[in-house]
Amino acid sequence: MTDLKSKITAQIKKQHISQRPRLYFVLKNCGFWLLFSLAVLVGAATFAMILYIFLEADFEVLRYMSSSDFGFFLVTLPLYWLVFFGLFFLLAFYSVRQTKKGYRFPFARLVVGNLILSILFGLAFYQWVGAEMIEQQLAQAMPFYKGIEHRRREVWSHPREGFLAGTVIQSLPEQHLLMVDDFQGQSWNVDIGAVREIHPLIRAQLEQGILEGVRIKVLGDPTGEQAIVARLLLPWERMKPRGMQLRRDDSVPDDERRESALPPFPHRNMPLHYLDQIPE
Amino acid sequence: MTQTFSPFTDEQLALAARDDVDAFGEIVERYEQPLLRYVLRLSDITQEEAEEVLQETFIKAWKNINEFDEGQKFSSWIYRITHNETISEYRKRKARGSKQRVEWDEELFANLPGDIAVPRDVDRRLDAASIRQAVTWLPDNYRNAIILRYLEEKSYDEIADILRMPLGSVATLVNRAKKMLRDRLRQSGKQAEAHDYFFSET
Repeated sequence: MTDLKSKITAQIKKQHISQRPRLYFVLKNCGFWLLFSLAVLVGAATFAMILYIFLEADFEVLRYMSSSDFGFFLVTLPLYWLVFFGLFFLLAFYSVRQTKKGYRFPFARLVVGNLILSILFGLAFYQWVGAEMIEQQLAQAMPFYKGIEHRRREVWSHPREGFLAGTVIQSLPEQHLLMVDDFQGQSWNVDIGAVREIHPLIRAQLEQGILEGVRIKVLGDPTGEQAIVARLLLPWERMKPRGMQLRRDDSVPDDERRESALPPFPHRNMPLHYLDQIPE
Repeated sequence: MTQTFSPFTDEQLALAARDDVDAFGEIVERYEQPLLRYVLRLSDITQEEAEEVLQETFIKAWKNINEFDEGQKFSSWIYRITHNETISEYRKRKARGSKQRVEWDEELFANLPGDIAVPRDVDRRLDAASIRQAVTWLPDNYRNAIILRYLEEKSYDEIADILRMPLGSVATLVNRAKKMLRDRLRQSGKQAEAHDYFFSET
């Protein structure tokens, strides 16, 4: 018997060194798989939130923005969701590497597989659970969490930087003027004479004289204490493809419809069937 | 009655050691020398310190013997524990500022594949010295791969289990380490040739 052999067997017997039970290792392995699954699921929910926020973001206003506006817009995007996604991605990666044979998975396959899982589950979350619901739950559970609606209000509550949102109090199309009360209750004169684009829905409401009471967003250039020259007019509510229930007027032949597409503003006798052309 | 474990494979012994300390004693006997050599090759510690590391390794192996999976090679499992224990000790010493030393023997030189070999016209003793120096110069993970592959003569599959990394990464490590060694040796080979040339002239 070698020295070391007798020394070790004696030490085990004398000190009653016990073995860790098999269950400990089984549970440890299951624990890492569970951690991996949780990390993938939370990562997927985070991905659904990122998708939701980016689809809800007012990207259409980007082309009307100056570089200083763009910087302002960028900082209002909730980039911390991307950081969360990265953290849960790393956690999933780490936990799978700690499983019994996890270290055998090639790095690239693990990264791609992890990403695919997060994106697929994220899309499923977005489609069937609804990122909006996740966000509402978060906002309820964490008072410091600001929902997307809150953030949008923050972005569009800077009339002196050209971002104005509020309710149309009075509409004076002949004078190219709208009176808008912002979310803080301040009144603004919005000059729409030089506007570069009006969302078709707003234009239709303006044409029909039913814009008063409607909530809108204005991107423009402040000209005075309470005045702004609009570059872009949009409805406050996001136009989701699913939510666009504007009906097609089938009584109008297609040829006529093409001819009557988007007449220049202001146009008093604009037919309503051009609403079909609202981009989805 | 004392049971004889000689006909047992290592894997069978590991299973028997789950409730038999004598079976574990047989494992200690079988692995004492190879693991001691491995510890010394891997680190800069003395023989006495290596024995202490080995003792710790075996106690850890005893405690965790239920972790051993029958589908795995037992030698890979125990080498992994030894590797981790040694690296942990090595890092402690490195933090204390001890200098790296690698335990060498002629085995390394004999086992290195032909594609690393330096030109035949260079003195063979010089080759061995250059190889020693070059392997010492390799970064830790490359050196570990070279030691396991050419000194411990482990397959890529076993190295993957010992170092806990994908098979492809093992192959990459070994190939890069070989390339680094080849480049290093080519340099020293040229230097040696130059040295021989200039000094034979005088």
